[in-house]
Amino acid sequence: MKVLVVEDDYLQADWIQRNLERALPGITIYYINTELEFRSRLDYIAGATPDVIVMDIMLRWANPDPNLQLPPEEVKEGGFYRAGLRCQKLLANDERTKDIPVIFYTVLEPYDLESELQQLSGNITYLRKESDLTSLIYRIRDLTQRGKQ
Amino acid sequence: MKQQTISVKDVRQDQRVFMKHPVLQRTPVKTFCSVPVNFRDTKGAVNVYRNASVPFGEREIARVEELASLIPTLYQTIRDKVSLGLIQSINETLHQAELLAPDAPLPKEEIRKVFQAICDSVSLTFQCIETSIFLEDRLEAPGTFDLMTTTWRGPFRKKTYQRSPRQGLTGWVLSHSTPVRIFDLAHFEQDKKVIHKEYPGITWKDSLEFKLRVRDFLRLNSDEELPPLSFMAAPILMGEKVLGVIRCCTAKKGPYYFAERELGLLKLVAAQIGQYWNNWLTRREMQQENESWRALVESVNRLNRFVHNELTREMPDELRIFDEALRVTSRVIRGAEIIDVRLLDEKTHELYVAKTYGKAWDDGSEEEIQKRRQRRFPVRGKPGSAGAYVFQTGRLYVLYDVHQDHYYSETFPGTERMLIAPISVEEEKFGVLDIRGTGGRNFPKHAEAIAELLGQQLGLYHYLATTIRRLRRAEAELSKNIVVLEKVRERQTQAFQDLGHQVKSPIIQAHARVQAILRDEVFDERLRSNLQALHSLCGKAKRVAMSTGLFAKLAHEEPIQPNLKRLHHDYLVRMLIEAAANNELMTDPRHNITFHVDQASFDVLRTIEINVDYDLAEQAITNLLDNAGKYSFPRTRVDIYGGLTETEQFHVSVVSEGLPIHSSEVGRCVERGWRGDLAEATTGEGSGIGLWIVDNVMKAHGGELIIIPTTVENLTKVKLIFPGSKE
Repeated sequence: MKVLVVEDDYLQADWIQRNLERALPGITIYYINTELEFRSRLDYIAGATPDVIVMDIMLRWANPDPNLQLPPEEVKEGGFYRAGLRCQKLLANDERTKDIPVIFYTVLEPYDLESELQQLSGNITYLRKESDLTSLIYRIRDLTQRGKQ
Repeated sequence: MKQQTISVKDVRQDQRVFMKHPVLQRTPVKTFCSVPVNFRDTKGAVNVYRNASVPFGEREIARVEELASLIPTLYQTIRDKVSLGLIQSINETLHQAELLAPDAPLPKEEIRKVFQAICDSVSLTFQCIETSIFLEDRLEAPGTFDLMTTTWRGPFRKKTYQRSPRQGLTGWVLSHSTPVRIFDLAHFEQDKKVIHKEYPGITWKDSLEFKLRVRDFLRLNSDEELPPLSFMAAPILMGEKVLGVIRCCTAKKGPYYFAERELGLLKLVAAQIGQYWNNWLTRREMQQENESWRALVESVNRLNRFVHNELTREMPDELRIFDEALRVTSRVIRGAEIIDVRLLDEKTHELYVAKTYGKAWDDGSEEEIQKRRQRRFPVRGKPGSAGAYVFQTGRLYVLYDVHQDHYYSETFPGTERMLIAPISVEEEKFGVLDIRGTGGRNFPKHAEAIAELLGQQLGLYHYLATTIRRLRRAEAELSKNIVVLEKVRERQTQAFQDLGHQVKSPIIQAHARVQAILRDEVFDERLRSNLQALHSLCGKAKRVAMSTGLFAKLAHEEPIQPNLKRLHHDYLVRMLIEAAANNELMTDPRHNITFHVDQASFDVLRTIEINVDYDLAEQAITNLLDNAGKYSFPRTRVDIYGGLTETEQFHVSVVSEGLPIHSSEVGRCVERGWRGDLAEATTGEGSGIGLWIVDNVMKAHGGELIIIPTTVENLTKVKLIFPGSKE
């Protein structure tokens, strides 16, 4: 089972990784922590075809670097607030990745995302971040088993 | 002269006979009788000549006397008939002319033909070589009397006269409004004294060269004596106003001169011409007025359509409207040559030239043109110009002769007359409409009413254009504000979501770590790591919660009131070490960013007394460290040290190597909600209020936040200055 975690908070990512590895033996976890990294690794994602992508919604564009690549206009305009949704759109627009299930894992409440959630397709799930990762684990397990059937 | 009948029996023997008389010289007259004739005050004689040497008998003389007594009556009858014939002929000519165009005045060329027929009749009646009519066309060229028609076949050098006694006989008649009759122009110089008694100051310049040409006209040999160059002229009047002159010169047949009777008849003819000419002028004036009004109505209709189209544009341009309106003005007011609209500058209370029409505006050098267009006319206080007077009174002002008007202030040297109409709506005044005329032509009477009307139209257009422009601007402003409000609302929503994210995220993680810690039974590396993470997460949650509280306070413009206590060295150093450790822990270890506190540099705190609010100071410092952690490049170190400034104030400084802050951005860094493009791109939380809060916290302490722009080595220094006093 291959899971891609897109999360810019190092402690959070570390916590998810540790818990998933314990709860789902044999799991392989990839980790991406910026929108820029996600965009530049789209081909890699398409090739690796993860079973599930766990995606944060508020996501920085890039890490500080002397050669920092500035974001395109649409990213500048939208800011980091809905970066995860932009990443999901890229997946949906690509034939190779459009069927990969995505779990939006965020502290944002459903009412914060009301209009965006209404537009999501069937293989997209919204889960609110909690201290207990059980819901996330169940959901990943559910999606991967459904994929096998 | 003695009024006696004389019978000469032999002309050669009788001493009373003047033998050099041409008749006696050329004919073989032997005897004659002469019988007196009396006609009113005029005395004359009837001479009957006989070639045979048979004297006239008594019966024959009686028959001649009887005949002589009938001659005055016969002469009178013939004269009356001729006079009546002339008057009737002229009446008929004028009547036919009326019938030619009952509804409209005849064109000027047709009028010339009518007057030519009159000239011909007069010339025929008086048997004169020259009959000419001069008339003033007050609508075209007032003050100028142009030759309308003439019977003179020679060169005509002077075709135009003014009312001036110096302009020959015709000029004298025009200026004195009095008829003139001179027996013989050939003796004008000799008879000047006598002539001047009757016609003071009159001159004759022989512009037609009568002396030279009459001989040809009469086909006289050079040795033949010229008949008298008799002259008469009568003014053509309407009431007391002189409309022109009719003049006659040199009779072709005997008696070769014009008597008082002829002049009387000429006056009658002049009166008929005067009546007709005045009617024609009046009708033409009315026609022109009608045409002007019709043109005005059509033009205003067109103008209204133009204005309507202009007003429906995004931003109506009233200058385009004025431009069109000035064209209309030039079309409907004859003689309106130089026109402009002056508007009120509400700031300076002056009239300025807003729009112009007419070539004269562009005459002269660039400097002259600019000067003319940039002239200003104050409207406050005693009016110093005609425009200011019109603006103040709100009434039309006519300068019939600008040179005589004390309000007139010259803009164009050629201007002769001017109409100035107010541009207003009800009591609201906007400016004035200036209409200037050059040359001799007066504005028609109705021009005043039209100018007034156009001024009102312009006022309405100006009002509409400015009102609509104002509304459109307000509308645009409103739309812009709505967009801004939408953005603000969106940002607020995002800010709230972000705050929720910043608070909830560490709390959720802290809670998870607590549960993990509680599950762990042995103190191992994992437990230690969880405890450290818990500490950092709680620190972050505390910092975010406090930032939120300060943000709310500052957003409501409430002052921050620090609870000041002496800052102890040990406390500060411990707090800095903890904050550094927490920040290091919160950064991704792959980035390898470390934090270092130069503990020794804070020893200075032992010699200086600094009072701070512990919570606020911690908040300010941790905000700086948080920023340093977020924006530092990988594999770099954040240095924290303290010391005294040159002015011996205590400072805590944070130096990091990361995203640059340029000198141009330093001021903006402390603005609420501002974040540079690079910083914006590298953060996944926050809304750019951290340094704004720090700045306010420092100000509340009487201290200062100083940001030193990034150096070429990529080092950025941020200093917190705390005021203090040495012990």
